Amino acid sequence: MGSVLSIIMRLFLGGLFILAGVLKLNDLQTFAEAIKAFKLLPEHVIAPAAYGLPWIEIIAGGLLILGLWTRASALLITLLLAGFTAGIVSVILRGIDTKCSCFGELEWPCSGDVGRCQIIRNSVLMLAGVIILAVGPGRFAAESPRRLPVD
Amino acid sequence: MSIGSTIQKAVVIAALGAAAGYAHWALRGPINLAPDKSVTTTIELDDPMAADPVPVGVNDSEPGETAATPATTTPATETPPPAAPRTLTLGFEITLEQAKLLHDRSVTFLDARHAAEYEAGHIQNAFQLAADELPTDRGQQIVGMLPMGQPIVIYCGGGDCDASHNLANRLQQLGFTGTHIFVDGYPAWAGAGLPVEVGPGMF
Repeated sequence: MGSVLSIIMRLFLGGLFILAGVLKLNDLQTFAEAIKAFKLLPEHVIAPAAYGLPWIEIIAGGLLILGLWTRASALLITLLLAGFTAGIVSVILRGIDTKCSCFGELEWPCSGDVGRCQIIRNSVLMLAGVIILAVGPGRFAAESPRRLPVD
Repeated sequence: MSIGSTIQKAVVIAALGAAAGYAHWALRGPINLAPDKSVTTTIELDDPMAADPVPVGVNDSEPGETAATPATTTPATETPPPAAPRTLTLGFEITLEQAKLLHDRSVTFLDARHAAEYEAGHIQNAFQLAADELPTDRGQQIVGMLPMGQPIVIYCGGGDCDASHNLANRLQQLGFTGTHIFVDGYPAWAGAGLPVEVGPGMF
């Protein structure tokens, strides 16, 4: 049961993070402009963050799907989501109207300027991360020991 | 698996991602986020084609009104008009009065906000084009119609909004040298009672 739950959550969260990373890399200029619009990072940190974050998402998402360093990937993804959510909350509190660019040009499942929808979405994704942290990689993971056929 | 080793591995994954990002940056180069602010445009103030003669914003009278004044009442001591046309050089960021001068001269206006805000009200004859729409087919179509080397006025919602600067930056990278930002944007234009339109644009 735990293994099935784990692989479902891993495929869901890992797949979404790979998608998010690839879509951001597809239009780095827009992603960098979105980071700038959040007005949280100093100017000289924006470009490194725009290049680094998508790759972290892709690598962590890939490891999660493969089931390698599963809990570490889930932890990193959950922390990233917590950070993104804090950024979104701060943008809303400061009354800044901006797009999230979380999934590049694909506005799914939230469209328009950042708001409650993005916070709920990130909370659901964080829940998936916490489930993987709790359940662990399960049987269907590259890091799990193979059971030899008993014959 | 201990908590300590999980955290260590998470840090290693983050470092790997950062390294990949660094390699990507080294291959592709920096991301330019700040437009070139040295753009200038010089216009003739006595342009007979302009609808409203200078001073702008000071005199709210109808354009024809000053011309209606009988010439015979003009005292002989008044200085004659200068022979050379008076000009005004505009910087990268322009004011409401300067934006109106350019609008009167049929300069292209771009609304850098998204479609919903544009449709709720925009400067008359402005095209809607948000920076992140540039790579789309529609964005490319609009870019293809913009006058290269001519002034283009870009605005957004005024105040804190970055959208017009982002669009100016991207258009400059495509070779458009005449981009100007109307800093106070749509709220100031509409607030001054200047011509606006509602609804979707032609493109």
